[in-house]
Amino acid sequence: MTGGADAVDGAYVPVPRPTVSAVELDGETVLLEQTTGAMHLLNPVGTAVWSSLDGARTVDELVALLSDEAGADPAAVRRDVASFVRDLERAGLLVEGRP
Amino acid sequence: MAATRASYRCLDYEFVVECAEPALGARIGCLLVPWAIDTASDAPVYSLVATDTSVGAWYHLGLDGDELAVGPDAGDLVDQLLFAVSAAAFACAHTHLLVHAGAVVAPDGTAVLLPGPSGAGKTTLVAGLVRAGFGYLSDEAGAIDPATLCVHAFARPLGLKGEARTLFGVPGGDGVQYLAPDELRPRAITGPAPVGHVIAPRYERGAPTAVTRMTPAQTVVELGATAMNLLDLDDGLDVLAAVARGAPGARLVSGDLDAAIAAVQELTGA
Repeated sequence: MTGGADAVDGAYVPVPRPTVSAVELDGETVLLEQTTGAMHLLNPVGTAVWSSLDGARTVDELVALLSDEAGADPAAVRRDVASFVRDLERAGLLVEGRP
Repeated sequence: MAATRASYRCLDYEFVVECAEPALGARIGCLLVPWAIDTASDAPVYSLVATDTSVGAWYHLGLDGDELAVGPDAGDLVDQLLFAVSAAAFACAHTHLLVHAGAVVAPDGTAVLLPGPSGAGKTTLVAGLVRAGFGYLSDEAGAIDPATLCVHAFARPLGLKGEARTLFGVPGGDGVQYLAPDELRPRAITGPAPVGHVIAPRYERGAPTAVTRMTPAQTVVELGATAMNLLDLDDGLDVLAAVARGAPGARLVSGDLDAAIAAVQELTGA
């Protein structure tokens, strides 16, 4: 990890836990952690990031993909992705084992 | 020797109630009539008996011979009986997705789910809506069939407490007082109905009535927060999503029953 508190290593591969179910409705996503019953609501930005987590893409690749798709500033996208990934980690929705 | 003995089925849970006091047995029979069946074989037996003591009658609630509760107020024992029966019914409900919600049927034939925690005002709002002509499904649990997305009746008597008693002509006092749905309005209980609306009520004393629309995803989260057996179903999240796709969701904050009823009527086109 480099940078500030919300920064995430660009080589990190965020992998959703297999116990997390997701359903998308009108651009928002609801996540259900099947072992705890905890539910999480993702806004459209979070939905875009979550749906791009294929278990193989690095944070750098996610930033490139999402900034390209949205035509957005890569630096701003990186901040959003880093913040979102940290939130997912805190909520226990990602497989542990950050490189 | 029991003065009254009757069999009941609540969702998938069958049980028998015996009561040694004729008047109390008749009252329980009136309250539980929506669940009455001819016979329940090998079913647990709840018994209510009274014993005379130097300070008056004490009532005992038992289950298959084991004492569950005892006290001087028969009403409290009826409350305990309904709590025990409801908990047992929820524990063995494997065919429905249960959400902690009131449930009524609007004049257009669709069900209105009113999810919320205890104290949100579900029972009072349900009672008011039933009195205003909505059909009664439950003041406690919405039982959703995952295959049809219909809400089935969990038609337990409505437990009114505090100020809500006086709104419906029930004498004031401590504790919960139960009303059979048909005591609010004859033939109030209705059959399964597809979910048409999800309205999450919250009573706030003195608050102006306010409606806030929910997105479908917010509706799923609202329902999920009150679901009792979401993790017991393989497709619980998909069921909630299907409900939310077909049923507009809203939050309703109100400190006035009539205004809350009017808001529900407007939301449902009643």
